[in-house]
Amino acid sequence: MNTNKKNFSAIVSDYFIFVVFILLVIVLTILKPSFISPRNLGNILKQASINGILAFGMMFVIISGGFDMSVGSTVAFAGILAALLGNGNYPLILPLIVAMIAGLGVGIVNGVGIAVGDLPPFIMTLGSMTAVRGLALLISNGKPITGISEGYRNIAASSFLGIPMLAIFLLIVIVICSFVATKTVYGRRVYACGGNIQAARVAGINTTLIRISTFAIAGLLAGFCGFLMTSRVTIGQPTAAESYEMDAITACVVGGVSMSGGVGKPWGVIIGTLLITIIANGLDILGVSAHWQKIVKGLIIVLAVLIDVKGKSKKD
Amino acid sequence: MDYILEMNNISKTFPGVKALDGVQLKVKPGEVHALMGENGAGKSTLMKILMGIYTMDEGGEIRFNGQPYHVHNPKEAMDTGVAMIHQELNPILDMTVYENIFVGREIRKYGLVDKKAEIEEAKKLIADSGLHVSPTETLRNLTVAQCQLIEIIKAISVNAKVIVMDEPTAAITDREVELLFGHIRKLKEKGVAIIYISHRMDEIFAICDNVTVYRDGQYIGTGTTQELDEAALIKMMVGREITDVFPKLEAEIGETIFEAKHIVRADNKVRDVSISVRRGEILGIGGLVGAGRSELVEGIFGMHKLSGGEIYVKGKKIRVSSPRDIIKEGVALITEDRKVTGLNLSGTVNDNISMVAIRKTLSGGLYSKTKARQVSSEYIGKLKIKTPSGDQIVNNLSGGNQQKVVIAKWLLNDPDIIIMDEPTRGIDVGAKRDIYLLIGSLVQEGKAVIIISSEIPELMGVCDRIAVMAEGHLSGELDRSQFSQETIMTLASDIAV
Repeated sequence: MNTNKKNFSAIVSDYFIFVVFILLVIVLTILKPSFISPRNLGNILKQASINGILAFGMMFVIISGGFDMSVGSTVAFAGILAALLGNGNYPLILPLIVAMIAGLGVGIVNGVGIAVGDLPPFIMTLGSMTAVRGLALLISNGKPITGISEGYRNIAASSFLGIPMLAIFLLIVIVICSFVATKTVYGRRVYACGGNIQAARVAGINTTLIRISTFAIAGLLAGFCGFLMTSRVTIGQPTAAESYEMDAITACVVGGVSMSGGVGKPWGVIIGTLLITIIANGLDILGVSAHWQKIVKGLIIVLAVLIDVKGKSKKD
Repeated sequence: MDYILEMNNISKTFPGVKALDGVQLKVKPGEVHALMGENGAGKSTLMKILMGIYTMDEGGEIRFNGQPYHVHNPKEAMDTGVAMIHQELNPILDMTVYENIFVGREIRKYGLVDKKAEIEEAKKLIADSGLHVSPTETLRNLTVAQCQLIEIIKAISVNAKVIVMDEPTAAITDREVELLFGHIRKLKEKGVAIIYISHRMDEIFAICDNVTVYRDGQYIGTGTTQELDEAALIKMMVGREITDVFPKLEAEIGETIFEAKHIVRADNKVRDVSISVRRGEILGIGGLVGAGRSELVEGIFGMHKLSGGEIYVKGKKIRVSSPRDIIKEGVALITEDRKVTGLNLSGTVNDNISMVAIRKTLSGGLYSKTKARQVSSEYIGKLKIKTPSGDQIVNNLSGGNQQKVVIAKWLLNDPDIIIMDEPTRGIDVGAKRDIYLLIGSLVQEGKAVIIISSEIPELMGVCDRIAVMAEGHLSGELDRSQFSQETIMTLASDIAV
C-alpha cells in the first residue's frame, strides 16, 4: 500500500520548520561566511537564551490551552527586584530567589484568575502585563537601577569551556522542560488539558491545578529571565523586555506549538527560538536596517507557519 | 437477585427547574438496562449524578454493590467501578490511542510515565476488542467508530462493574453497531452491567433486557423488553399514543427540479455519482458512514472541490465554486453536525434564524432587531420550536429544538430544494415526528427534499425513492415499492456487483 509514501510526507511536514532552519543557516553562511564563526555562534546562543527560556515557559501555557501576555513585564519587574538586591550587599542567591518568587507570584495570580476565575487568558494576562509593568516602574521610581555588583555582572558575561553561561542556563532549562513535558505524568496531563479539557476533567485530572501550574512555570521562568537580564544589561530597567512575550509566543508557534492547545514538541520550540534569533542576527550581520528586519521577521513567521499548516492539511 | 446499582428517590433542582423529581433506577449485574425518555426527561442529569458531576438534592440514596455510594467526580466514580462513555465523544484527538486509554491514570515507573508498559497494555486491550489499530496511532486519524471503541476499551480497562453508554450508536454505522453489540454481549457475560441510553427503538429491543422510562424529570416505570413493545414504550415516553412513527404526507410529484450528474470530488471521496429529485419528492440517500454521502452533498454545495460533474437547478446549469453560488439558486443544505456547521451556539434563536436570509431582516439597508424578531417568531411558531423566547441562547435549547432552528434558518431563505444530512440524529421521538411532518409539508408545497440518514427504517418511512451509496459510488436506486431493509443493506455493503 501507500503507507510508506504517507509516512514520508508526514515526516516532511513534521520536520518542515527544521528544514527551513537548515536552509536559512546555509543561505546566511553563503552570503556571509562569518555567520558560522564560533564568535557569532556564541552571540546567537546568547541572544537566544532569554527568549528561549521564556519560550519554554510559554510552551507549557500554550499546550495546556492558555496564553500569557505578561511574561515581558514580569521579566522587567523581577529584573528590578534583582537589581535592587544585586548591589553586592547580599549573596547572589538572594536576588535570584526573590526574582523567581516574584515571577512565580505573577504566574500564580494569572493562573488563578484564568482557571478559577474563568477569565479568558488573553484578558487576564493583558491586565497583569499592564499592572506588573506598573509595579516595575513604581519600585524603580521609573528610573534605571544602577550599581550592580561585579559578581552579578559576571554571571551573564562569563563562559564555561568557551560556551556563554547564558547558553548553559538555556540548555539546563531546555533539558528540564523537555523532560517534564515528555516523560512525566504531569507533562502528559498538560497535553491532555489542552487537547480537550472536558475529556481531561472527565478522566479525573485536576484541570484547574494543571492550568494554574502552567502559568506558574511561565512566571517562574520569567522571574529567572529577569535575574539574567539585569546581569546581562548591567542595570535594572523598568522598561526592559518590552514585547518579549511576543517573541516567546512566536518561537512556540513557529516551532509547531498549536495555539489551540494540546500540540507541540520541545524540540520544535528550540528550533523556533533559534530560527527567530538567526533571522535577527543574520540580517544584522548582513547590515540590513532594523526597520527592514522587522518586516522580514514578520513575513518569515507568517510564511513558515502558513507553509507548515498547508502541508499538514494536505496530509489529511 | 441483588442489584449492583440502586438509585432511590433521586432529585435534582437547578435554579428555577426541577430536573429530577424523586426518580429511581435499579440495575442488576450482567444486564443491559435501557434508559429512555425524550430530551429533557432527566436521563443525562441522572447519569451525571451517578458520575459525580452533579450532586443530588438531599434525601436521595445511591447504593453500589450494596454499599452506600458517594462520589464527587468522575475519577472517584471510575475508581469505585462506574464508567461512562459520553454522548459527545471525549477523545483527545491529538493524542495517541494508548495515551487516551490511560489519560488520568497513567502507568508509572519511578514516578514517570511508563510509555512501554502503556503501549504493551494498550496492545493487549485492543487485540481483545478485535479492533485493528496501532496503539501509537493518533486519534485524529481514526474513524468515529474506532474512537468509540477506544472509549469502551478505556471503560473496560478500569474494571468497571457498571458502564453507562450515552447514545453510543449516534455516530456509527449499522455494521459497527453489530460490532458494538458484540462487545456489550461479552461484557454481559463477565457480569458487567450496562446502562444504555438511546433513542433508537430497534437497538433497545435488540440488546437491552430491561427498560426504565422517565418523562419530564419523573420516573414512569420499568419493564422488560419481552413484555413491552414499541408502541407501549413510546406511550410511556411521550405520555400519549403516537400511532405512526414515520408519518408520510401525500404530495404531488412534479417535474425534475434538481440534478447532479457524474459528480466526482477532487479528493476522490465521491466517484461518478448522479442523483436527481423532482418537485414534491423526498429522495433518501442511504449507505454506511464513510460511503461518501455527506461528501457528495457537501461537494454539490460547493464546500469541497469537484473535479467533475454538472449541476442543474430547475433545468439551468449552475457553476458552483462556493456555497453562495448554489444558495442563490434556491438550494439549502442542513449539515450533519449542527453544532459545528449549523449554529452559532452562543447567538440567540433570532440571530441564528436570520443568519442565511439576512436580507429579510433589513430595514432601510440596516439590520433591524424588530424585524428579525418578527420573522423568527413566525418560524418559531411554524416549527414548534420550544424556547422561552427568540432571545434565548441556542446552546441552552435541546438537540431537537436546535435542529429546528437550523431548519428554520434555511426555510427563511425560501429554498426549493432542501438537502438534510442526518436531520434527526440524537433527537427524541416527538421532535423527530415534528421534523418528518415538516418535511412532508415542504414537499406538499412543491419543494424537493433530499435526506441523508443512517437509519434505514427512517429512510424507508419517509422517502419516495432511495439512492444507496457504497465506497464513494452509487450502488443502486430503489423506488418506494422496492424498499426493503435487506436490499438497502446489500446495496450499502455493495455485495451485489
